[in-house]
Amino acid sequence: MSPRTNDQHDGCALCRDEATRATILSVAGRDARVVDRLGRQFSVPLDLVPDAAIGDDVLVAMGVAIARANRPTRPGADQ
Amino acid sequence: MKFVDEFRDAHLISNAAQQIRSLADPARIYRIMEICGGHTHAIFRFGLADLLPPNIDLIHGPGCPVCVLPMGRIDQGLEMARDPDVIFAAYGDMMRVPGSAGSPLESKARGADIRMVYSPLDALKLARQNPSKRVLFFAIGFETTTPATALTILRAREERLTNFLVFSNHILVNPAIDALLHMPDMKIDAFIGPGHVSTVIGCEPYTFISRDHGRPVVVSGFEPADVMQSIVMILRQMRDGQARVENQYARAVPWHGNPAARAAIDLVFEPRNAFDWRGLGAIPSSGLKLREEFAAFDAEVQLSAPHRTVPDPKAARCGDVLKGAIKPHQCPLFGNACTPERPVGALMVSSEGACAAQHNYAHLSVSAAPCPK
Repeated sequence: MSPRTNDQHDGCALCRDEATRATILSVAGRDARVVDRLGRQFSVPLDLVPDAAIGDDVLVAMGVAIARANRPTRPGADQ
Repeated sequence: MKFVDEFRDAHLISNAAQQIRSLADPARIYRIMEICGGHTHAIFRFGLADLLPPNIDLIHGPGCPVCVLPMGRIDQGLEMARDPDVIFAAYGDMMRVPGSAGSPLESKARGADIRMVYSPLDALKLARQNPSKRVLFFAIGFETTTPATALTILRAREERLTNFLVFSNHILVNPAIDALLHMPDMKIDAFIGPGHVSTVIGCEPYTFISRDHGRPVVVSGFEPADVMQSIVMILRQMRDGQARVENQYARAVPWHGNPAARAAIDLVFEPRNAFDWRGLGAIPSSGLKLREEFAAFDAEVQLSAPHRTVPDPKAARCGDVLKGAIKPHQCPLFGNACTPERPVGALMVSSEGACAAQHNYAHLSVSAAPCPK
């Protein structure tokens, strides 16, 4: 079971369009063990991010990795 | 905290606020809609509206799937849950959402087997653990949550489970925006585009907003610096007379989204002819149903429960709030007949709804302030 939220624990995860950033620690078959920013570890399927590997960050929504996440170098560098 | 603190830096946000003040023409009103409840939450939680000049009016959009879910769909799901052989599984956020005969939590108190899950995969686990029962997962959400439901159905098929069912209430962002843009008294000048929905669908699908309707769109992250920077980017476009789609949230959103997630959605789901939205009415092609080849997992096929239409309360002016025609506190029900504890209108249901967010965070200060005309 994955934790429902990251550091913003108030409100509705569905309405907040919530996805939690987590780093892949290990991969076994189609599932990965990941750790989020609060140090919590849980397992997620990687089916939808097939090119993700150990050390990559992914976004987890409702217990499933839905996207790879780049590491920002600095605020404002996204543009 | 890494990737959070740097996007809540006061100096950075002050700089963005200064840029916004420089870019905004005091002679005009800028009505900017944030589509997503996550942005609404950030704007109220961090008091961002207080940093903006008064002629920048943030309009809180329909991107709150719990708010816009018609009561009839909750009634239909709970009707299915009355079968003693059914375990009804739903996200915790759904538990207190009222149907016309009460919420899932109240149904649980009356004896229905209602379980809270964090993921559709948890509901699948319930199905494995309870082979003599049928597990009904109440699926809801935009394109951020739909991939998890699709993947779970695909895994259920792989495992040949015959007791896992999904009641799909998944909806799509763009048909709702399109419906808003075609409303005659729509007053929105630009859009802050949803962040995590866009990790799946990408930025390209929003081009109809800029190309056909001449409105800028900036896909935005959820931290305060993200939202402020997105407003800067919108104002720059408007100053230069441009309307295009920009991506402020490139650290999570590739321009073309996630093709694998979209493929999973497309494999399992197809658009309905129309789906009802509280506050907006029926919108063509805005809801998703399971494809016929997945009928064995479709609760609407496998369980008989009559479709119910519960009309929106006439006095609630949710649609006008969504269009930007009025502010939440200008609705006659706001804060008296309609409160977060006892919501009447759609936008008071979840804390990310425009009315609930205003009621919870800024009730007095915003009510006292004059509205932009």
